[in-house]
Amino acid sequence: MNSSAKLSFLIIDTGNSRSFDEADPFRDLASSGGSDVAIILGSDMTSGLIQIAQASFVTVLVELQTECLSAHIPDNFGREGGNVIGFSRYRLGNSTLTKLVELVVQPETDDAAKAAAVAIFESAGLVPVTCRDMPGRIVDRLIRPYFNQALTALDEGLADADQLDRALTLGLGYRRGPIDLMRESGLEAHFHVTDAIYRAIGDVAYLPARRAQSAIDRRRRGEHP
Amino acid sequence: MTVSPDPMPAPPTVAVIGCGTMGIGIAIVAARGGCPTIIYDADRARVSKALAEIEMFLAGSVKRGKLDPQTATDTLARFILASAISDLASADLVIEAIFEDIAAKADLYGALNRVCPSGTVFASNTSTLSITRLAAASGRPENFVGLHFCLPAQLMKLVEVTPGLRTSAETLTRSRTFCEAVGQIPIETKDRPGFILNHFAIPLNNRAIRLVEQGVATARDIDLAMKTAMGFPMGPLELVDLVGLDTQERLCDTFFSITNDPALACPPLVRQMVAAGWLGKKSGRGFYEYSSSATFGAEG
Repeated sequence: MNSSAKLSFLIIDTGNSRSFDEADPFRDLASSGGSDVAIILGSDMTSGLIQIAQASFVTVLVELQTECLSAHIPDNFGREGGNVIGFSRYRLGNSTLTKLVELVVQPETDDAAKAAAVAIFESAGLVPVTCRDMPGRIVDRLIRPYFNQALTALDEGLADADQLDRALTLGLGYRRGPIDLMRESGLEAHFHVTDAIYRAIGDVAYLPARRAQSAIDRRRRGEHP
Repeated sequence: MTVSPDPMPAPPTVAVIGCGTMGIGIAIVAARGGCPTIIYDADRARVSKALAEIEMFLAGSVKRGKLDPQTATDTLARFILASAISDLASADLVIEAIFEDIAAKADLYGALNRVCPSGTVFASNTSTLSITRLAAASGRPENFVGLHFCLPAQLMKLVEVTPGLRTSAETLTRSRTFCEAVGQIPIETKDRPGFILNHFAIPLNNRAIRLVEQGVATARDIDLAMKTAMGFPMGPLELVDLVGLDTQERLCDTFFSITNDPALACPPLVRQMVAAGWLGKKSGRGFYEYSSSATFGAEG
């Protein structure tokens, strides 16, 4: 990360950020005041806080969990937009953070706000991509059905876990197989993400696979997931 | 009557049918692995064009230091260009890599069955069709096996080895032995639509295409996201461009007709791109624009 480039943004931290934890060097790039850009981090986001920031800053970046940006912005029947942009730095469950930042824009989001968001994250050595405000954004929208399929393939005896991972890493050049990734990131995390997408769009490809549902059942009974 | 295959000579004579992207890749693997390799295509012009592409690939490999010049020369010398099905009579192993049409493949196996000795093993590089059904059409189901190479075959090591219900243990063993002898890694799969790889890859690619179709993100951002977050060597839309939009359309149609799984239905955008002539890398335009349509790995 290039710490010499002091970026003009302010961080408003509501706690428990998944994108930038307390020790993340990205936070060192923030200024303490007098900035045009506010980044609101954390899981205790409120619409009121966003509205205040929206009135005070030229650009507001709002950290998202599994929810859409529209969960925080009033609906305008396809004409939403303005200076608020959602973002999420991608990680599988509690695995290591990646460099990917998914930026969530709405139909009428300001071009200047988009450019500012891209510039801030690129300057920090991260990789921003832009997507519309849809459940699962890009990566979870693509990878979660793939994980569901892998779990179902085990149930159906298509191959065992090692064969599946070996075939997909060798055949498609993937760095790691789906079972290996789920072992690390956890079935519960998979359940929570897929369940949120399934509830939002109703596509059965996102219905959490049996093994993920069982992990949640075990957790609810207080057993090891 | 089906005769058990004789012990395969080392190296076996391999015939590859179909001089498309996959067929060329498989032929390179066989010849580079030391096998006399017959190449055949119903369109004779494609055979000589394939040899030119193979030559270019080998030259590229030498230039990049991946292959020594003598090995490239020896590999090239192992190719035998066939102009008729009857030229395949000396093959110990025939690998079919034509388009995914069960009737076309069945016709081909019928012709091969009349030409090749009864001990010759027939293999299909199909990625979607049932090996048992193809084997039934071959007239020699015990000597029939699925050998699905991955794209680009000349660079990817995995081969999905799939027995049909009547494939003999001996044929399976010989097929695995062949794969290992030419430097590939065989993994046995069940005779199910898509085996392992396409069971996962086609729905994932279709979902990526639908994100473009729905305007959720651009092809560039989708590919960049998957490479950055998941470590994919190429994005799903780059992969579709490499495979070919027309191939993706055919795969979807074949796969969907077997499974009725909506995730495998061909996205309308694919049909539009095919109609527009945007077939991917080979036509110079797909989700991206290309300045070269050379065989994968042959550039530079």
